[in-house]
Amino acid sequence: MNAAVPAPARGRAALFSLLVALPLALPLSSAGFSLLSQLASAWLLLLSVGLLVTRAGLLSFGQAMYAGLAAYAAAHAMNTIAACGWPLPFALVPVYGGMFAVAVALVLGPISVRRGGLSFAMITLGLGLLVALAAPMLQGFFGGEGGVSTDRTAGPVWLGLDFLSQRQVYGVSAAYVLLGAALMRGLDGTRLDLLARAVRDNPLRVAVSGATPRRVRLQLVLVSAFLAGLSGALQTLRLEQVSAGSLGLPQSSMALLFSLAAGSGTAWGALLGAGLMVGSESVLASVSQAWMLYVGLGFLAIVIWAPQGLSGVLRDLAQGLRARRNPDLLWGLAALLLCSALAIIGASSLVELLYAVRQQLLVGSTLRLYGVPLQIDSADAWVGAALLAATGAGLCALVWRALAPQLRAGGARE
Amino acid sequence: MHTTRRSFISTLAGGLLLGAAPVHARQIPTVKLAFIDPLTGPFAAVGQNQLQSWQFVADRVNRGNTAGVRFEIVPFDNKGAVQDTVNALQAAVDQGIRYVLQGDGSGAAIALSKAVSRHNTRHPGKEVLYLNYAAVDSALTGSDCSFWHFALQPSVPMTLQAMTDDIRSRPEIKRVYLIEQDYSFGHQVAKYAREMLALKRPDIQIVGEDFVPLGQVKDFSPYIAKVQAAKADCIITANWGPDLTLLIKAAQQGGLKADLYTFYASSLGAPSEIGPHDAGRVKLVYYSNPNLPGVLQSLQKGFRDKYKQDFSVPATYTGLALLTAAMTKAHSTEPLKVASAMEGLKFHTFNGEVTLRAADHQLLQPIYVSDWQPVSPANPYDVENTGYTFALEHTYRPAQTTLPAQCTMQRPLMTEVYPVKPPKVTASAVPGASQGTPSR
Amino acid sequence: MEALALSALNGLSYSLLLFLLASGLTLIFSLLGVLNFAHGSFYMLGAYLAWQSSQWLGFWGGLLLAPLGVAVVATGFEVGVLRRLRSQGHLPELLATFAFGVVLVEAARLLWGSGSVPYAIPASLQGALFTLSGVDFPVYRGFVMATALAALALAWLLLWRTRAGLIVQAALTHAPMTSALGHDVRAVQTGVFAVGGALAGLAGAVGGPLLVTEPDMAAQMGALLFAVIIIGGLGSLRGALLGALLVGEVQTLAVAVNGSLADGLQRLGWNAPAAWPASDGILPSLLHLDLARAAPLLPYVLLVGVLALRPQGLTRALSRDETL
Repeated sequence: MNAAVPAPARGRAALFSLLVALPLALPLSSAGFSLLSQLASAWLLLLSVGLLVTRAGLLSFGQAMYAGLAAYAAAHAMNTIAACGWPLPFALVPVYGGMFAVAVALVLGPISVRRGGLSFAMITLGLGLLVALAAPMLQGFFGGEGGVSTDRTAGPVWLGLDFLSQRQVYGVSAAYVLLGAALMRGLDGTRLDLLARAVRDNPLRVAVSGATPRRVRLQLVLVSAFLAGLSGALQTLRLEQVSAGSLGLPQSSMALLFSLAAGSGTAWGALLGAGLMVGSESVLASVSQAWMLYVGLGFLAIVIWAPQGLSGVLRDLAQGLRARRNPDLLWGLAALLLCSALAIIGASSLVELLYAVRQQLLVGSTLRLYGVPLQIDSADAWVGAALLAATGAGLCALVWRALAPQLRAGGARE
Repeated sequence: MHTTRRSFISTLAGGLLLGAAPVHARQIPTVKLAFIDPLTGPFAAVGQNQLQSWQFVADRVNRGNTAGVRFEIVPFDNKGAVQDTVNALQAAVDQGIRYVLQGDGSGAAIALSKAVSRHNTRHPGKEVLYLNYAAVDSALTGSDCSFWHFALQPSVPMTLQAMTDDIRSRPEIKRVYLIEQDYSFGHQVAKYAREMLALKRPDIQIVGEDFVPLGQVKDFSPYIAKVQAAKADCIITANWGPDLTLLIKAAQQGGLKADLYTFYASSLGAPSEIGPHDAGRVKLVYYSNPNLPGVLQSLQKGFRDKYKQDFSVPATYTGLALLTAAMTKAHSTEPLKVASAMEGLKFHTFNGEVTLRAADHQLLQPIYVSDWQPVSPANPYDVENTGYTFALEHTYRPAQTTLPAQCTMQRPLMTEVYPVKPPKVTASAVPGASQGTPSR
Repeated sequence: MEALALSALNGLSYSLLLFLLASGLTLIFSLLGVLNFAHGSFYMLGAYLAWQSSQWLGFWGGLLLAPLGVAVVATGFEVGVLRRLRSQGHLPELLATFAFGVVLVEAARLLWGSGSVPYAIPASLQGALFTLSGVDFPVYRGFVMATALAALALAWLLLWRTRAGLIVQAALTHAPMTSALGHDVRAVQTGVFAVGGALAGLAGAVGGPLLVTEPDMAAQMGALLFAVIIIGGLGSLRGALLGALLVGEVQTLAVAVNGSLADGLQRLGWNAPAAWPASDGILPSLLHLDLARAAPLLPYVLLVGVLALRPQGLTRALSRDETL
């Protein structure tokens, strides 16, 4: 927790930066870059949520509100810049979005931070809902139900960025991701950081020591609002369209829940959470009708086996593996992965068959699952899927029983 | 069997009405249509019914049509959200799909229309055509109109023309109450209703106007109480979804005697919520009526047999009829050529002969005013197994309901649509000869 | 005047339905310390179970079976999942209840379809109880009020007049001591979770015919419920009642007010700047917003207001954790 950055942390930071910058060199499609930009926006949003949760113990249901308001501001800014012909690059519009969100937080923040804990959570819930419900009714800033549209190619061209391709959008998003990560790194170990953790643990003692818990919380809310603002503005850059749906309660809740599921308020934790969130809302939703069910079941599984978040468990596992370098353990884990994959394939096939039969949205009666065409009205597919699920689950149980003593013997926490 | 054959022949005849020669296809080209509407989330039921309707109609039309094409519906779930709509468009474009169908939600429609325009400007030669089969907002055919957007559902002023004409013909209505949803569509309805009633029946008083935020109000009884306190004779409402069904339920429970003029009383689930009550009091002003003779009956029966639900979106049939007619006329499935062919096109669909107005790409079709009544020999279709139906009261021809177009759209030049091939350059080419436009 | 009285009465029936729902939520929070995000789903499940049972056993059979069914489901969840998370803190429990809520909604979609089911008011409860100036007050709303009050009375009786109830109350505030005295606090917690779920199921069984029975009803009620219990004060039944009454009546009576803030200011002599389409500003739009239009937002305005001024809610004293 000291100000000097230890070597492993620097290595991790370099790895993170490399990971973020790498896709720019790859020949991905437009859809691929669009997905990555979406991931970048989600990362910033989850970072802003995770920041509040881990460092100040505050649950915020209003981050999507800050992101959404910044998105609107960014759209208006881009339209004004294009209309008036000002020489301001669109690449800097996210910064304006972030500052706009900070300005909003300066107005709404003081009401929310007077108390911590549940009171803070509920005020942000109320404020977020108010803004989301009022937006379609207020035509001017919010453009009514259709929202505000903009054109990212209409701005001045700076450094060769005309934003015609999604690759450029991702490039700018990646730059802001690195900015956010640097901001987090800069926050570590500062007075604000330590005070925030103190306020989370014992606000009375902090107040007695001379600092005001309210002010500390507000400062943290401002930082997280900035990150959320960056996220919203980047979203506008990518989609060129903002609507009231983006600042609703479902968005805030999803961000909060994925942040809790992924655990930890660090850059890697936010990356895991963003990957899960974008993966289920965009990738999974495009291939399966049952994606909400998978999200619910996935959360249940995470909360049972990794209550403090996935990243904690993964980190412990990685440490445990590195510490003992036991080949048997590695084989055991690989076997576990294989069996659980089988079980998941079987169970998800059953779910998909069920949904296909129930919702009747298929043309004909063939369902393509994992590359295999299945006949939904024949018993073979059902029996096969059920057997696969049962076998996978059974094998998993066996492997786990063999593996668990080994893991426990090493003293690793599951 | 009889009706199927008859309807098949009528479809064929309708296509041939244009007098265009059928396309000789050596192999049947497949035209993919991207369906972008909610399949999960709060509006899933309606979106799923719409997808099933498209698939059902495509299946029918694929058995034989004048354009000689095969339609394939590719579904994309936008969960009712604008962001996901734009994402879905991107995904569809990446799969090489050139036609987009959408109808659930005017917010998504406006966003989609703009996204399609942007895409088409940036990628000439890879244009996408957007067929809007249910979303209504005056901006779509007005201030935000686009060459690539086509509206199959009557616009707000068209529906209100029919509605106010019907009200005008009833001298017992003197006090009207407006209950709309609080967004641009609802405000447009209120505005046009006031203007048209003031013109047609200056003696009618608008005794109240209420706007409800979308999907937020659970208890409509205070609104009904206001209506009753104002002694209104009828309510005009364009509410859809729970905002309509809860309003009707509250009206039933409060013993409301006033008539209810609705836009969407026939949408999926609403008739079941109205139930076998309120005979003669709930009116529907819509471009279809379930008792229309002809191909609609066979479509409804076939759909109900297959899916156990009502065929509540006949615009799907109109959409495919339009596409096949345009593709026949254009001898092509290229969106640019098809869009040009669609402008001003007259074709035949389940509610008669209709025209796609070139000025604003709005379909001009009959509008029917119907009344919720028990099933009778004249109106035999049992809506959602309630024992009641929408009895056809009055048909309004397009000439009676159409208002002038309010759209100035940028159209591609005819040379872009039908490029002139450069002349073959022979050995004795004259130096300095002008070159023709490059062909696509 | 009579119209206002009838509106207030309608608002009362709506408030009591909200109270029935909120009471379960506040009970669960007070004992388990967890905000049950699955409460809206319990409500939805109650409505569906009631409808399904009413197909075989009639409306009254459905009314009886629905709370029982939901209680069984809630017990299963509590024993299977929530109990393990007791030691992990509140955040995992929050995640768990949310996830369970989602799973319930998807299960309802699979079982009963994505659309609404025609759960209607039974013939014996149709019609008007009385008529005020031409407007009916439906029998069914009176029935809803009676059910809610009966449930409240039963809950009060159980909590204050039975031994088991006293043990529950003791476990609420002094769990370790109660456990040390030999009572099974874990069973009490399961029991309270089941009863909370049953109350939500009962609310669904009576609310379904009044409103619409569809999978989305879970999400529709969710946010409003939190507003109700926070305004009233978490953990107190009295608070749930007060919060529900406030929210229901404010929402209902505001619809009758057709003026806006700008109108009020005009009466005081100051003309507010014009709103859209004359100008784009947010503030003018807000000033010109009719109270009737803003009625569904008022519960959240109340929520923010109450939390800003009195964060413990209206009926509770400030606890030590909340002073700063």
